[in-house]
Amino acid sequence: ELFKPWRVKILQELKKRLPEERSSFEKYEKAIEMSSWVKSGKA
Amino acid sequence: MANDREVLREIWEGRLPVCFQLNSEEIHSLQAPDAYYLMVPRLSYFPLVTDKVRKQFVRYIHPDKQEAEMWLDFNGQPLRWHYPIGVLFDMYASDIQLPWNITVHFDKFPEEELLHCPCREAVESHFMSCVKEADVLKHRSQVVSSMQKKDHNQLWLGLQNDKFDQFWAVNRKLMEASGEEVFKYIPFRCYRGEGPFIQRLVRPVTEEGQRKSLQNLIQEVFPNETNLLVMTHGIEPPWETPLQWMSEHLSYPDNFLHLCIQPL
Repeated sequence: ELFKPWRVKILQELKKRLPEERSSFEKYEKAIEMSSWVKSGKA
Repeated sequence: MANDREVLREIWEGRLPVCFQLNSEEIHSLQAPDAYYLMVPRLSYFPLVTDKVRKQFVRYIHPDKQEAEMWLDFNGQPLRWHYPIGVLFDMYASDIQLPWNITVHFDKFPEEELLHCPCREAVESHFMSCVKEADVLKHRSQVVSSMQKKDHNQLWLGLQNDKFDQFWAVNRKLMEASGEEVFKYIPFRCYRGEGPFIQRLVRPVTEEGQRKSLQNLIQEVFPNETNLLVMTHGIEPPWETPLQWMSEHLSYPDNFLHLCIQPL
C-alpha cells in the first residue's frame, strides 16, 4: 500500500498543512509542553 | 492493522495556531488584556489545552464571574468542546484565516447550544465513551472490555500529554481486525453545517467481499447527492481511499473518522 496513489497523496497533503508554521507561527507557545526536570539537593 | 507509522505520525503532529481574545464586553479592568497565542494539537480538545488561556484572562473580568465556566466562540458560533479541535477547525475552515481567532467568554453560557464541561474528567468520560462505542461497531465491544483500567488510563494520558508512543501502545489493539480481515462496521461521523452529526452502519466490504472506498461510504450516507467535498485532518482524502485503511489510520484518538462534508 505504500506506493498506492491515494496513500502518496494523503501523505503529501498532510505534510503540506500549515506551510507557514515554521516561519510566522514557530514562536507560538505549545499548548501541551511536557518537559522533564530533575530535582537535586544535599542531604 | 494500523501499521503505516509515517501517516499515523503526521496525523498526530497536526497543529493549529490559535489567537484567543477575551470578549470585549466582559473586560472589567482599565487595561484590555493582550491576546493569547497558542499552538494547539488538532487531535486534542479545547478544555485540555486552555488552562493557560483561562489564567490569562480571568484577572480582567468581573470578580463575580471568576469561577464561571469558560466557553469559546468563533464568528459568533459557540464551539463544542466535545468535538476534537481539528474537527471544529475543518467545520469552519472556509471562513478561517490563520491564526484562528477565537473569542473567550465567561458570561452568558449558551445553555441551548453547548454541553457543560465542569472539569477534565468530563472530557475523559466523553472520550472513553466514544472509544467504547467505536469498539462496539468494530469488534462488538470485545477489545475494550478485555482491557484493564491501566490500559484505559494509558490511552487517555497519551492523548492528554501528547505522547504518541504511549497512546499507540494501547490504541493498536483497538485497530486490529481481530481474526477477521476487516472491522464489522466503520465508526464514523459526518458533519454538515450546524446540525447534529450523521452516523450510519457502514461495513468496510461489500457483500461480495470487495473492499469499499470513501466514495462508497459517501454514496451510502448521501445517496441522492453529488458534488460533495469531504475534509478530515485539514485534507481531502482521495475518493478511492479504502475505508478499512482510513479507519485504521485517519481516525481521531476517539477511534472515529470525523468527516466534514461541504458542497463543492
